[in-house]
Amino acid sequence: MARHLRFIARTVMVQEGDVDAAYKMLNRVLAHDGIIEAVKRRRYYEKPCRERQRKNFENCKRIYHADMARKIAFVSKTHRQDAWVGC
Amino acid sequence: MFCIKSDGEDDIVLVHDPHGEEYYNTICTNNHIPDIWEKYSYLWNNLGLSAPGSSHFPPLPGEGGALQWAGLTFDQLHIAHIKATYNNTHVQVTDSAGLSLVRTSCGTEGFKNVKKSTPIAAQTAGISAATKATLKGVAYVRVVVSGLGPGRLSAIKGLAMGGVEVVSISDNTPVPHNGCRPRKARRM
Repeated sequence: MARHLRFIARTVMVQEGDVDAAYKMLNRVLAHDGIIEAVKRRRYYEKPCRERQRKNFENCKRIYHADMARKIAFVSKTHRQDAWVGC
Repeated sequence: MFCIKSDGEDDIVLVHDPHGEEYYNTICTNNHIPDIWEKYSYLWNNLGLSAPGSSHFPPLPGEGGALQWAGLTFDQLHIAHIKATYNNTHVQVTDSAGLSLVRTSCGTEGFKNVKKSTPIAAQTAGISAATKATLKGVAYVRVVVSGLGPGRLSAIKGLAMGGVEVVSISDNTPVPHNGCRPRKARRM
């Protein structure tokens, strides 16, 4: 990040000398931004065919997980308003 | 700094910097939370209740005088660069302009070959760098880490153990926007 202003992004202050907590927070921020997995992936070259396969797989996984979460949220909604009041 | 105003069912989130400029504002209803709020909400623990000096974000270059470490503002503090490769860990302490003061690595501490790529070697490198830096009069340091190696965390811990106070941790891992082609994949 040589062309950017330094010490603004990807920076965490250390509170009360707790270096571990600050490092954990930094790691969490980087993981959320996808930097750690990007660096790991770029360690070795990924051929374009493998890259396309991986992107396709990640897409399918994302759709599957979203649908499954929807289903679980629906099934776990046990307290509902009584639709047939009086019957 | 941020503030939340609630207007009946909607919440208005405003993010300000200390000079009052708005970084970001949004209206979030109860069910729909925008991405940036989700992204940084784990950093904002106590909404609107945090003490003025204890922010998780670094002070901006323009704002000075509010926080002091041994009479230095954040921009004047020394920097400890930690380069954590997969085979070794280098620690270099420079001043705020970039002039090098102390330079240690796992190799200079007497480790050889595979033992250099261990967290313990990185910790010893950090401790030795911190002791040499204190001899040169460095008390507070902001750390810049680069690379994802085994000595990434233990070098910072070694610095702290060696007697130098760590003020902030930054990450400067180089992420190319598809620049140089890395080496071919290993087949094991």
